[in-house]
Amino acid sequence: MYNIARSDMEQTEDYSSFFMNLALDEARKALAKLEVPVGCVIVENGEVIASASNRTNETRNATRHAEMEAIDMVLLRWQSSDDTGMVSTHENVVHRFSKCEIYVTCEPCIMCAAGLSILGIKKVYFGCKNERFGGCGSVMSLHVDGCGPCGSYSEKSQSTGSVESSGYECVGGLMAEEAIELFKSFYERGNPNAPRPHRPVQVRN
Amino acid sequence: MQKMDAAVGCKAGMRRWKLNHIPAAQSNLDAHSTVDVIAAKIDPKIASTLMRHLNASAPLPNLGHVKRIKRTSVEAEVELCIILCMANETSKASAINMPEEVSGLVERYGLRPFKAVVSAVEATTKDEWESQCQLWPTSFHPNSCSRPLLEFSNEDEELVAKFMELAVEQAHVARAFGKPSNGAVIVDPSSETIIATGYDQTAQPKNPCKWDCGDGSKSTLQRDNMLLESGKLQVKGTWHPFKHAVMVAINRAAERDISLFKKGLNILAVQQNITQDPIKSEDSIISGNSDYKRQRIEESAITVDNMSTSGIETNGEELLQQDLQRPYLCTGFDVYVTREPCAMCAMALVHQRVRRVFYGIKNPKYGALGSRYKLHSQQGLNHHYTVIQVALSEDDLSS
Ligand SMILES: [Zn+2]
Ligand SMILES: [Zn+2]
Repeated sequence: MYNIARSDMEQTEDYSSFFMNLALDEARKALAKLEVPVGCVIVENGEVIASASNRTNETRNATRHAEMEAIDMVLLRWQSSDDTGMVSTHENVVHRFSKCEIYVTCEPCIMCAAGLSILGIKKVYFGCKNERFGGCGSVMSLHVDGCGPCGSYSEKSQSTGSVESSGYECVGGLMAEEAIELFKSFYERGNPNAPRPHRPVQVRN
Repeated sequence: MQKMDAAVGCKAGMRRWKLNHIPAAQSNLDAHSTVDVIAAKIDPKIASTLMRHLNASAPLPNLGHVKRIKRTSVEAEVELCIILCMANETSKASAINMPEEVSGLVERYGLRPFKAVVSAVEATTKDEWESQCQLWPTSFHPNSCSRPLLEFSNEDEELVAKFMELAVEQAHVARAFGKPSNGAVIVDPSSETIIATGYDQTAQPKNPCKWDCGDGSKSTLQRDNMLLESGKLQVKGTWHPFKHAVMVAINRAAERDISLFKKGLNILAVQQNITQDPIKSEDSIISGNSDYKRQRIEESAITVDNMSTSGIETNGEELLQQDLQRPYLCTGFDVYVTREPCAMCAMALVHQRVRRVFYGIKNPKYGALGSRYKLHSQQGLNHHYTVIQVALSEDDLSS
């Protein structure tokens, strides 16, 4: 549905801001549900294959970041036998993710940045920086270092090359202002549709 | 600082594992390590203004224990010196390099910068602290989170061994299914309750499996093996590259929370006019978030309505008790995991605010709690847990 001819559009600013806008739409949905406003889309061959936003409050699970939600959707789809490119091993997953890009409104945290390396994602585009938890340059650089399994780092798994950790390309600052605006709305007003709080709210710069 | 070692004095028959504290501070630094900073003598009148500017333009992220301003009395005159910024390590001893904002301040207030030396890490003892303060004043918190008391009584050690045994058992379940052997257990130490268990599910199982071992009972492995043999375990598309044992246990802890503490309970807190939000939002930096609270209250009211119409008997006192017991994420809980967590798992445990992480075998390649990184010493994070290695061996996970 959001298919764009790669040859025409890829690498251009229009191409990436098109997808970042979709990620921002997801972030707005999170804001409306009083979740931390971060959204993302995963794109495979110019097609959006998953879009999601943060659900940490609803799930009472602080690890349910937008990226985690979207990745789960993709895997569920790929693991179902209806999918033509069905994945049944980690190597399959890495192979398919190596053709995918993720657009996320805020720099992936250390957890998500590590996870994206485990999947072997091709490229990450993010909006604003995540100064406190960012894993793509702000606090740590997992897009360079890579991350691997903690379940088995034994000789056996090291011999299979594709399970090795890998870094990935990372582009930040894409429509960062829009992403920051959403955070401001969240911290200052909570829900834009709700009545104003009685307490005066401190406006931060 | 030296690693603190405490031998586990387990009863006969139990395994003996050594406990090693993995301190948060960088291992190559001790209380006598120092770093260079650039400082200047200042007029006390401009101290607070400068402090504000410098905290914004030249924060000292790894020097949380160092006081920014040094105060000395010289012949009844108070003299103040302030740390302007870190000294650039590569610069020559004589050269002073400062960020642009800082040199702007130096110019504006006519300061004369000089190099000073401060302690690189927080003191762990009063003696260390006193010697640190000879250089430049630092703060000292004997019982702070970053320097936890690490004395384990015999009973504590037995508990550690007991819970680690459960994690080992989970690792054996994973291995029985042909998956990487790693297991995790989340425990509420205040009541010694098992909150959740998990084992590695990153690979497609060799044997069909459905796992249902959330109760953490000791017979998990035997029971699963029996079910497996009897053909009662079924395939459930559960493998996922992120299903490291820790991630699985975290997800199960959240599921437990949702199933044990239904939304409707919170209405009682409202009726009793309890002002504290029973559901805290993701981060404490969220301020003025009363709208959020309001919506939760409304949701709760709806749920309570549904409950009464569906004929569920609710005892107010009991519900309130339950609500007060509701955990916030995994605050106060301990995690036992048979292998050192990777960066993903270690950060997930930060997000989930666990109190302590006990891990078994080190992961030299990807381990984020001592081996490759020390995530628990990242100063900017909003939560820090204590890390203790329980020295398991590969034999423990394969036998
Ligand atoms: Zn994240
Ligand atoms: Zn892990």
